[in-house]
Amino acid sequence: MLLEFHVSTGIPTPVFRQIVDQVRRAIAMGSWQAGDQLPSVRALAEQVVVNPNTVAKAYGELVRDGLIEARQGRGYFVADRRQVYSDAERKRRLDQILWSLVSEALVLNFTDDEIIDALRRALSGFRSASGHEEGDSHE
Amino acid sequence: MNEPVIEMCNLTRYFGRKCAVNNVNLTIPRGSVFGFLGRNGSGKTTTIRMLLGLLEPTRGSARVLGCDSRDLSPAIRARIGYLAEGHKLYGWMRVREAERFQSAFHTRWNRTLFANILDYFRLARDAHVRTLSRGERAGLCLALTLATEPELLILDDPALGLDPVARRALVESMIYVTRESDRTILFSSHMLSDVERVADRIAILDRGRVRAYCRLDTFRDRVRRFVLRFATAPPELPDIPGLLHTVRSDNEVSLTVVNPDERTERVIGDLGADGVERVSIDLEDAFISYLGERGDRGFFLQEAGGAS
Amino acid sequence: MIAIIFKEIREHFKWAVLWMLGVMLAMAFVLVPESIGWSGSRIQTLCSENLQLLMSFGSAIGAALLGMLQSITEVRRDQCAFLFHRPLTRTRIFASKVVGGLTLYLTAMSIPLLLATLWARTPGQFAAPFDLRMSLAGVADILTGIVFYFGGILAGMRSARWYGSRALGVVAAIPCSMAVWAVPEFWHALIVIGVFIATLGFAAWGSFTSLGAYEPQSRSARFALGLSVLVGLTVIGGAVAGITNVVNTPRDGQWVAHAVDEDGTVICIAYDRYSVLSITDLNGGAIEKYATPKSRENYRRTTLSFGFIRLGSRNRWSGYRSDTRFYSQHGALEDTVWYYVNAARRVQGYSVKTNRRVASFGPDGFTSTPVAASASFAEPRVRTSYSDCRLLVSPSTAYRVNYRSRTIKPILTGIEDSVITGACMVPRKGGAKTADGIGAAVSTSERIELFAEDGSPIFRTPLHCDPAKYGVIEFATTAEEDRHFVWYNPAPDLPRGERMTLPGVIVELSADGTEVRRHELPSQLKPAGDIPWHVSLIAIIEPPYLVAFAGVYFFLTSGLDLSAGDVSANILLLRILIPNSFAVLCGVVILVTSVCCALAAGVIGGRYGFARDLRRRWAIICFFTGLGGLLTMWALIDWPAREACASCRKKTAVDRDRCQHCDAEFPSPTLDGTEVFD
Repeated sequence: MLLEFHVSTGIPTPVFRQIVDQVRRAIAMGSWQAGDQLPSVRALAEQVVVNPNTVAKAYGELVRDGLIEARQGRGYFVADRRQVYSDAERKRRLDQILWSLVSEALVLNFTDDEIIDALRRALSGFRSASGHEEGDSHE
Repeated sequence: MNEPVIEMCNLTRYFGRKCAVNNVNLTIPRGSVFGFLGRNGSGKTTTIRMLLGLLEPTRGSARVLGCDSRDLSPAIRARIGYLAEGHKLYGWMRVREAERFQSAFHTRWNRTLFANILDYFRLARDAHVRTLSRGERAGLCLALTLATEPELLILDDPALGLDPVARRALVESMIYVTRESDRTILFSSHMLSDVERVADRIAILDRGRVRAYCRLDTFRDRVRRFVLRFATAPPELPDIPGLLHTVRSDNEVSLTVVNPDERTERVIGDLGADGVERVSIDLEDAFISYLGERGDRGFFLQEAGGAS
Repeated sequence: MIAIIFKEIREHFKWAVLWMLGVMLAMAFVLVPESIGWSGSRIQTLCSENLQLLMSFGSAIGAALLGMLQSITEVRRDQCAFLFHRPLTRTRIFASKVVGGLTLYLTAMSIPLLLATLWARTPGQFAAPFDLRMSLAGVADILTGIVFYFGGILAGMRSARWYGSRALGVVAAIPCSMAVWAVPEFWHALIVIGVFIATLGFAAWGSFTSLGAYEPQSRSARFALGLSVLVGLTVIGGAVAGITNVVNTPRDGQWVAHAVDEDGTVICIAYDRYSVLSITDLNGGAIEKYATPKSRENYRRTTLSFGFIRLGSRNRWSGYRSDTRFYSQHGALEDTVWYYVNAARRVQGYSVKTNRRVASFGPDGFTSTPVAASASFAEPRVRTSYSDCRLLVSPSTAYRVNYRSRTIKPILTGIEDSVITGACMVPRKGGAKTADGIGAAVSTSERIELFAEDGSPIFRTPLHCDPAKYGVIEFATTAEEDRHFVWYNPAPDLPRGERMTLPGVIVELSADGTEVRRHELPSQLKPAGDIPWHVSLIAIIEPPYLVAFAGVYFFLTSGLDLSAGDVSANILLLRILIPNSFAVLCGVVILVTSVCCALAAGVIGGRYGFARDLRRRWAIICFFTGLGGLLTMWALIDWPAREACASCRKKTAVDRDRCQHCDAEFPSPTLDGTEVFD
């Protein structure tokens, strides 16, 4: 399916990181399945109005991470293997997200239980929206 | 094929006793989109004018497309598109006449592209140039420059005075130019969001000197902000290498630092803060911290502080 | 190129049209009064000074403005980028602009001149003859405008730190105008204009292609620019000197004139400005008759009036700009104006009512019909004063003409041993000078001959003085016709020193021409003592090369006589500026100035690290051109800033790659650790 990319400027996240994140999320949410073709570098660059080199750099990182693969002369495709990080790295990333989530939530005066409940609701909502079955995502 | 499009060697220019451009050494590789940044009066326009042979360097030299900038041959000039600061045109000309005038000199003339850009800016062909708004004039200039399909495009503050729609058109057309992979763009701008979208390399000029010359991402990566939390009032700060900017509140200090290394981290760590947080920073903040006055606050805040 | 030419024409078209209309209007103001009818003044049509001034100023100002307009509008701010950043060499851009500009300018100025010429040559418009060559003056003025046009471009393009020095481009064209007015022949004017166009045009080209900078220009362009600036500065120097002279000249208005009383006594009239102080005889003795102030004021009533012959004046005042080259008014009655027409060698009469030619006469008499060429005077006329129009003289024959009876009669002819050099009417005391029936004097290379009213000879006598030196001979006769006076005056074209010291001579002749008495008049030279010595300091601005040139010239031509002040006598400025007795002082001042300027140029060159050759060249230039050269150097060069060298701490010019003292390179700006490089 066609994904509506969006790039903002004037925010702390660099443009190429925004593209990487959006592709990553699309794959994580199942909007793109393995074998789907990504827009070409030039097409995406003109769609979101950024320098093609930036898109190329984002695709390069995605290829390096194994999320997508370049096929000679045909373009970029979503790769089969989606597990790209080491366990330690995965844990570090999760910690980072949790840390900011918890600190923001505490500032907003939520109790521990409320936070855990909200997290659960978000998880189930995300799953049902993307059609994933529980326990399917990571082992 | 990958020889540099522009090479500057100790390029220097004085106006009277004032040194406007001071020993600038920059190389702009083919195919890059080069953002030329700096505050007003930092020497961007002067440098560009020297590159085009419109101004004599006081010392040093520059080569553009392999040709000495002081002696650009007509053949080389035909390959360079130049949009001058302020979108100067002849006021008495009509849009149509401007096209005829410009196209008379160029063997390559992309009529379709010219017409498309005019349409985008909603320009009437029989309007007098002097009756055009700033944005319309910019559009006409852009069309006149791009229609020659230049190999090297030099834009001197093209976004000056443009509305957001026109600016987006400008950025789109710059991306259009890069369709051919050997096209190079050098542009100066104060619009950092545009820079963020299109530039892959930047140079920052400060009072005629080059203070940064790197990939855009490198620059963003090197300017960091640390927020330090203290239980009590923050202590006096020691000399921190690369410190650009400091903001203090009752129990917090925010430090913006360039080129942080272990030594920087160690000095910050030794301050004895309860928590040290790395904060992401957008390009505009990075730029302002980088080129703004060093020290604790902006001068407005200092004034207010002194008065109370 | 075509695109730029059209652009220039399109851009400045309306100004050219406006200018053309203005010139045409002004022309109408000058010409229409002459065409309406003869009012007693000369009808000069295209040769009238007002018209020539109009053409001269109209061309010069219009062209200079156009040149400036074409250059200033392009280089103001960044505008130049749009024009200069094109796939075209700067030389071609310059050529296109010049072609466009000159097309406009020449059209705008030529059309009025063409119309005026067509109008003037149409019979019935002006009561005067017409010759197509009369428009050459206008053509020369229009061409002079081209020099101003380049001056304007130069003024617009040069990026000079001193704003006045931009204007020098235009100022440098002024001498061209002056020379074009001064030279006798059209082709001389063309040469002058050519030289100026070459210089200023080349300078304008150099400054245009370098966008106003000096250093990048080729050596020859720099030379042309330097020459233009120097010429401009010389003009300004001349103006300054002129003003200083006016301010400094002692306003001692006392002077002495001489006259011959009706009883034959030579008297001295001492004036203070315009009032007569005293009248004495030549020895200073008082004259009873002029004892009262009233008799003194009216001394002209009791003295003889003289007619005069100006020798050697055949070509005087008849340069290509003058109507007298083609014709000169030679008598007028109420209804007819008569002209001697040089080309036809006949006198032609024009009706003041119809403005058409109605009659003419030659040696064979008057006629109202067109005549064959053989009826012309055999030789060109010897020029006489307009008041002597009743005499018509050629080198071998003198005629007496009567316009009322329309008769012409030879009074002196068939002389073999000499040629006629001039003639004049000789007024007799009591007889009106303007009425017919007064005597005439004719001078030949050997003699003077006097004729009575009816043309019969009275006497002939050899010249009393050398005609080469005494170029003005005056004649008068007493009421009783028993005595005649011949007064020899120094020729006006003698060198000033000689002219001022040569005494005038009045010879008194009896009725049969024998010399009775001879009076030598004291010379007019005033003592220089009342002029302060510091006036000679003005020589500081005198260009030494001119002085040297003039000095050599006078040494070769007339010998060098410092005491008479002839070194300076005819040099452009010094002639009026410096009293003779200060010639040596002036020479010293000029020499000292030269040396100081040369030294200053050397020192300045050293401070800015000029190469040895360049430094020496400037010193030599400044030695020969003095203050003007030094100022040229100052105005010309893009002086760089000077900064302390990082390694030897001495000040060095920043436009060099290395320090001029220790040869160290300029350091890159110091890094402070906040730089971001890949």
